[in-house]
Amino acid sequence: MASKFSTNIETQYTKDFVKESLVVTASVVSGTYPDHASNLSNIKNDTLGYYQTVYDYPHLSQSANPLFDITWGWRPGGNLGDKGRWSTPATVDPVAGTATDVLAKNNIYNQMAALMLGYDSTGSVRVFDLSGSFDTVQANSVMNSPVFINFSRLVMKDELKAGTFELKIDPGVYVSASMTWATKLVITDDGDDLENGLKILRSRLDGTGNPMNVGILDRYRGIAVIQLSGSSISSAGISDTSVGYFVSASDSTDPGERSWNFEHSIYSGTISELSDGLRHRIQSVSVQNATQLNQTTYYVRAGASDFNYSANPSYINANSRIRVLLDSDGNIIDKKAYAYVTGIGLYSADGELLAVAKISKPVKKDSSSPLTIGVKLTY
Amino acid sequence: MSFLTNATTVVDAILTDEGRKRLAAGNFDISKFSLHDDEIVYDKAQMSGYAAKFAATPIFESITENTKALKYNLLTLGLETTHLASTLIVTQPSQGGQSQATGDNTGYYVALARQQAYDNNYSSVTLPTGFMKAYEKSLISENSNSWIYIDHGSNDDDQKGPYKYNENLPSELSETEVLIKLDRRIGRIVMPNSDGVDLSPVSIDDDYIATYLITAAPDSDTSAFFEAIQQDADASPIAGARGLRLRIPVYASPDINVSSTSIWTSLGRIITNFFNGSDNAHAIDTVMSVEGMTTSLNVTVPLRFVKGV
Repeated sequence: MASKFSTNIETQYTKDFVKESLVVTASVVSGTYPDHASNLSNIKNDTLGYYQTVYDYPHLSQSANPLFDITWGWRPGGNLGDKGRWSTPATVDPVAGTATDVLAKNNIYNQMAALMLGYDSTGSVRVFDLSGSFDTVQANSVMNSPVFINFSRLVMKDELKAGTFELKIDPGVYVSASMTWATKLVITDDGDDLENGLKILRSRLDGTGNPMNVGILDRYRGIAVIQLSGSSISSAGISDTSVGYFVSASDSTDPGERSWNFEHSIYSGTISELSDGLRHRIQSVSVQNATQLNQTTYYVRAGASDFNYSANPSYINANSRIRVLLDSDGNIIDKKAYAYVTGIGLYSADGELLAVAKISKPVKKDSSSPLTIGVKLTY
Repeated sequence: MSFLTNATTVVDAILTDEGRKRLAAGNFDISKFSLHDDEIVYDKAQMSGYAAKFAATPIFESITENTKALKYNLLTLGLETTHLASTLIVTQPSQGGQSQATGDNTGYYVALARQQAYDNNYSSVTLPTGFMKAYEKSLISENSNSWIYIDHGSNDDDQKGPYKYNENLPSELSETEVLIKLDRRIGRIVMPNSDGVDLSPVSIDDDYIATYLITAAPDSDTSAFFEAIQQDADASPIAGARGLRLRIPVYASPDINVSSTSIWTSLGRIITNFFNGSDNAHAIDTVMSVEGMTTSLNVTVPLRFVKGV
């Protein structure tokens, strides 16, 4: 029986990853565009003040893509290292998280911890800890005031590739666009592997020396949690008290000028102000992302006696003679019929064309041999 | 380390719009394949150096429109043959066909989509050649002079071909299952001699192209679309052995058989001096594709639906 279709298909499923490297430099994070008060800025504060977003172009531009968000947390009941709370405040927790929510940093901390770490057996949210043990508060390693860098889906794709995160920051004063970078802390995810794709982030001064744990990276959620300061990591972070002007430049022309050191900033600064302080210390952020591709390859097999003729109208002349069997005068000569393949159609059982593939160069099909073509669909 | 085999070519495929729709609906399942040669023009086979010419044929990229992504199938036949079936529209009334229109409408069958167009222009004169009263499906269904006829078979000269007109066409070349595709907004197909019973499409795609399947099996509801051809030399435009003749009544869709002009404006155009050389007409040109399920039967029928302005 004549036919235009065959069911001789073998299916193979495979998985692959496509990787992509991205580097975001200081010129994007804090240098090239005006600050977020301007409509031309590539920085945009959340309308409620809970986070700040860094774009690659001015955020009102149609070309703008979000790169990452910055937000800050404060562990409820935490303290400011061994320095005590700033100016012996009346309340336990820091103030001024956002304009309307003085406990915004507490709430952010709990939200992030619940998402990344979950709850312990008592129903309490686990705590971020530099040791990688999240179930108890350990005075020397608990992260009381971490910054969260949340990479956008565009940047992280399906996941961040392990061992590719690198953040370079200047631990000194607030760096204006006109200033040069001083020493830098290089933070990488070369620490221990933890549960559920978490990794310990470690910092080295100028990229050398003994590393010190400074945070946690969640590769699958694209979130870096970093404790920039604290007595336990003072040699690998930002000084709690000795570096002033954490959230603003020491510049009288800056209307937001504040001489607060890190500790004071953590206590009194808004999330927006703290995010400004971090951005103006970032020299670069680089990651490599990975996208998972699922592929199905359909091996379609045409036997030697299959598909050697064509329904192409040019395949026959006006006299119904098969052209590939004719000489230049139109006489039938002794040859095998053949046809050329330039496309493959994959169909459902009810005959609907679901996928199509084209071959870059025509492939001859005749009765001398079978033909197998792999048709690859990528999802 | 073994050598890589070059016996298997691997190519990338894309989903068609129908494929994406089914993937989203969770019923994406590949069960068969076809091979195609849309870019190949086989006239080259009779030229010197034809192999190199075939190999150098530029190939188009894939497109996602499922009705247009692939056009011409390769065939598997159970016999070795020097001839395949040609497909011709039967345009000679003496052969039982219907003439196509002439003049500015040459090559078309012209379908009057509104009775008003007939009453205003042709009620007192003979309907021009190739014109049909397509506004009334029962009329079309019962009037065999308004049907479109398609023959297929071996068209070789008299006694030269292997399959003579007074012989049966081999079953490998004879078509008994046919797909008809027609824009459902413009035209519909009605069962022959049924007093206007619509033929139901098997599917309607996202571009409103309805696909109809008709089969010649005696117990099929659609066998009325087929008829045998006399084994006389002059009974068909096909010179040699013939398969079953197709007869397809087409009428104007209710979507265009309306006084409103909006669909006519969006899908068609105005032809000036169309009726009797003086009155303008709204016109929508379309095609009806007729394709055999298993053989080389393949023809495109141009249709022009008109109504008065």
